Amino acid sequence: MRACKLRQLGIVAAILATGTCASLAAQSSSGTLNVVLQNGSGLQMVLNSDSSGVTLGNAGTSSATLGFGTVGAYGTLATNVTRTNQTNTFTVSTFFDVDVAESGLSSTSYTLAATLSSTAPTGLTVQIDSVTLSTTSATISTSGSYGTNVRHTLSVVVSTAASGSGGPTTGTQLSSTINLVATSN
Amino acid sequence: MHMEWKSFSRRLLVAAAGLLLLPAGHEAMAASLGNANLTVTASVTSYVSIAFSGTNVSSGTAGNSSDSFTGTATLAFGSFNYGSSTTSTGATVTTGSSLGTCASNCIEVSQPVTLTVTAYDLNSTGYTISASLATADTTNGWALGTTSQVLSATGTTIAGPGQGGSFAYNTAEPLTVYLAVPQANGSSAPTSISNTIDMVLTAQ
Repeated sequence: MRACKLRQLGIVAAILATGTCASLAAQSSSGTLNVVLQNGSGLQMVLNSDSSGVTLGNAGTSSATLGFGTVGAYGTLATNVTRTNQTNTFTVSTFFDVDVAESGLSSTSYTLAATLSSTAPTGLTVQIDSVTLSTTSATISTSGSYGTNVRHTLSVVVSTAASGSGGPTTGTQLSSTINLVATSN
Repeated sequence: MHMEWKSFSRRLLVAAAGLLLLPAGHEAMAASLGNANLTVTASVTSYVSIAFSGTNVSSGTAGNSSDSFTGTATLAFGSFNYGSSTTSTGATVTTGSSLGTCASNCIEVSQPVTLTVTAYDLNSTGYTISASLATADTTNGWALGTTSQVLSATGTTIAGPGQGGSFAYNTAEPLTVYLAVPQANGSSAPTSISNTIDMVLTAQ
């Protein structure tokens, strides 16, 4: 009996539905589709050439190169490379810029740290803003500003000892890669 | 029809779940870090500097060891008279000379000069010196280091204290300059004597 009533209701509902569709065929209907795009938060860092520094390779990206050219205790250096001589070492320096953009964060500044991907070539010491770099992370600054080029000084301290006595290999290109990490404060 | 709607509904749910998960995962991955790599390159070249020093010696100049270069200095003996023990600038005057360049009486004037060669990134254990006169002098005698190392217009090897007669880098090496002037009765005294000692330094 109950099954019969349900079947009857279904039939009635089908008839109503059919009739409704037929009667609304010339009318319009509307609906609302809410689309939400959530922008992922995070930091993006790019390296730029400084106006007083050497021109970077792949400037404006997060993987750039900086060539000091040929350096020595005396003699001509590349444009925008400076040198200071110390006892047993000399230091060549130039500028580069770091631009960190933030998105979706409430942070107002960032901490910049740097690490060498591998030990520096013998006889060379790499520094950023006078902070000596190694394969262990070193803090360069704790108050970096977002959305602007922040100038940093890259220096290479070169031992004047002969190669084999703690000095660098001469006449060949030496390379070292710095991994930079910006962390929002 | 019902099955199709159900299938579409499932896909929608999956898509919705994806939309929910993607921003959450994205936010967690890049919440606060930005990374960049800077590859630094440099090629180091060797240099040396040469410096002369001492009483009456002007300062020298520096140059590139990989090129031909000249370090220069001037030694001023001043004026001297026969019988005096020093010149007007303080150089030692000795009557007679051990240079063996005078046939008769000589006045020998000598003055210590210090040579310092500083090496930078140079693979060398020391250097040797060959010295010569820029202008041959048939009248006066010249020597460097010791009185036996008489100079001429051709090169003379100057013995150093190191192995093979070498001199050491980054060390003040004493090199006395000797000048023997013959004194002959009846001859007029020379008004001035000037010459240049060319020293060729060769890295070992």
